Amino acid sequence: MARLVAGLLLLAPGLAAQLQLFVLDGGSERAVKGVVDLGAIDAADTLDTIFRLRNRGTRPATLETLSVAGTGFSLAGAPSAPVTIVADGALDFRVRFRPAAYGSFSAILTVNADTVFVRGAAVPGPVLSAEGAGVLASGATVEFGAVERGASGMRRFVLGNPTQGRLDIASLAVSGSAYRGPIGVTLPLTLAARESAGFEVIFEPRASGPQEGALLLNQRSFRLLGTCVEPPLPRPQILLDPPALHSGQQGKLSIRLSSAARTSGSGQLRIEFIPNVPGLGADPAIQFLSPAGRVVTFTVEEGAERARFAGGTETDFQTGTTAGAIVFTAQLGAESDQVSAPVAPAPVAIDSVRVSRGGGELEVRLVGFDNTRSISQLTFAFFDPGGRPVGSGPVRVEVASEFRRYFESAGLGGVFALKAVFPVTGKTADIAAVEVELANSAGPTRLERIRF
Amino acid sequence: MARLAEIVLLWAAALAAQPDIVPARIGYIRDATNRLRPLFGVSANFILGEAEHSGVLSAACSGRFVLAKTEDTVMLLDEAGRLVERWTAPAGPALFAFAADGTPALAFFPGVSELMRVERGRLRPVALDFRALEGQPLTIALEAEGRVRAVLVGRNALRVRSIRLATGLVEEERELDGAAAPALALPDGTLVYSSSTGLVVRRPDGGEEPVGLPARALTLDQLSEDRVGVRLEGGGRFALRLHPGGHRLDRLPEATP
Repeated sequence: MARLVAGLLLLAPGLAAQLQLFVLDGGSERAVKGVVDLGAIDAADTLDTIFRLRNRGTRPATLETLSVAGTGFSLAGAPSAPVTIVADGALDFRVRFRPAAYGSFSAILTVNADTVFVRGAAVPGPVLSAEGAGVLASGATVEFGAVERGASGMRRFVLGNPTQGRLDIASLAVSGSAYRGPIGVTLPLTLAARESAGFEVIFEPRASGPQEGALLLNQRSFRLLGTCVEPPLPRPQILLDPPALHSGQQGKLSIRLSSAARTSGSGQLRIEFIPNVPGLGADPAIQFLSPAGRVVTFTVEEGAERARFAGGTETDFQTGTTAGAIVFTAQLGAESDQVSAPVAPAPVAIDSVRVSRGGGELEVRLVGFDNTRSISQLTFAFFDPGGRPVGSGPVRVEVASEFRRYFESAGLGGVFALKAVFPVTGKTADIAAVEVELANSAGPTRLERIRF
Repeated sequence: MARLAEIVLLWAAALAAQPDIVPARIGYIRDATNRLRPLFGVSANFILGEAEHSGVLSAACSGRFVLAKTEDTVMLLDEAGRLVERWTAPAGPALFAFAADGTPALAFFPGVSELMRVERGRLRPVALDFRALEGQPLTIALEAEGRVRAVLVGRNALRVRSIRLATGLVEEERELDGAAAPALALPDGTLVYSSSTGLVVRRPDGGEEPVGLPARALTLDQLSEDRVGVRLEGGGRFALRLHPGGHRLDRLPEATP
């Protein structure tokens, strides 16, 4: 508590024209005249009074001596003399009044060769202690530490009557939206001589960050300080639908939380791929779809038990066309989950077959994928409208090197489109169906007879 | 059968000399930021290629050719994305139609209600006044024997009209019960349109098959010979594959802007 007091400084003749003492009160200066009365406070309370020493001269002046002598008085924030004060400059210092008992107190404030008489009074008042922090001076800070949002912290206080008489506690209150109390005392409160009463203040913050409050005791104020931290996010758990994956598939992924979220937050979901055969190269189709890519973000709302993606509680993904392991990793705050879903090698899968007749030739177009990227042989068998084989038997073609070159350069995983043209002697209309077989390292694929 | 055709086994040698194994390109797609991208892959396994054109207001792909409309130009691309023709065109979006063999056939410009036909590498106006048809065309298709089939949205319903190009005579007209925009007419006579439960695929023989959607369809685009792109209200894009044995709906990757 800084108070304005006025007094008279008996300036040394050499300095009289230069140094003038003021007391600050609410930001304004008041010249000191005679005795400075600091006022009355509770015993054990603290009263700081700000003095200002101003150099009114045109030359620098030196503060050689600055002291206060008297029980219950001290200097605070005062520089070590000697100190030079420039022309038109000023120097502030505090005189602290902290009476240990009630009664009248006085002291001599000395500035260079001049003195000012300062005095104060201490009235009987309670002593406030905080558990673990001892007796609190007015303005002291009581720390509540870090408390999770939604949880609470508590500090215990003790009000003591150090006097031999009865003390009435007129006012005891807590301010600040994050604080609640005092709990355990009822006002008006009267403490008998040497009696004490305990009470509690609760810190229950609802918003993150530092939270300030105050404990108000009669005219004294004590700062309450705590920090609100967000609760930890729950552990994510990845759920795949379907749980078992194979190539050329779209699936859905959702994230279940280990418990209802006590705070909101956002996380990241990644999809990575480890091919069965090292060096197979990229498979860009292994990705999430909305948005397309290998990373999507998700959010968690307070109270929710599932994460949300853009558009809902699920996100779609593709398994691509390469055998290996698709690894999903969800990171939510400090928690994470990882699922590795194997994609087994499989025989060649055909997505579409088109056969067309041209002038003297048949054209067979196959679109499909080989998740082993090891197609080695194609077999075509043609049939007439009666279902009888045409020609001298199935046409077998070794294609391992052609497909290897294609897969190395295409960069589309195991997807391919193949066009096979068969010159025909005679009428192409006499050929009505074809059977196609493809072989890779996982086994043969025989397509149903295609009629055209 | 007296004489069977014979397969010449030289194919094996020819394949070895010049194998025709290429990336599986499905078609083209206009993304959410009006960029035209090739679409690769197979069902349930799509890969968006890099954007090749921007500022595309309308696009359709038959599998063999792509028609794309920018503000004042119609581009004709081949299946590999190479520019075949470029024509100056009226401002705004366009509706396109391909012939049954996938070649470009018609373009309609709603901003000026003008129909044009692709003939011998040029875009030629057709003397057909769509303003007189009582309804805004949602989609057009080229029918056999010089007719255009248009689905028009009127006051209360969608109507299909077959109109002779040479005369403008409406030769057939019917109302589509329970149909709503958007709609897409395909070269083989298939019609896809929105309904209260999703989409309806109406085959050329009149048979109808429902396709459930997670949300209402906003747009329908021809992605390839047998795939229709479906953009949903609230986001999300799907590829509807039309197949005699049953249709297939897969989610499409959505490019980030």
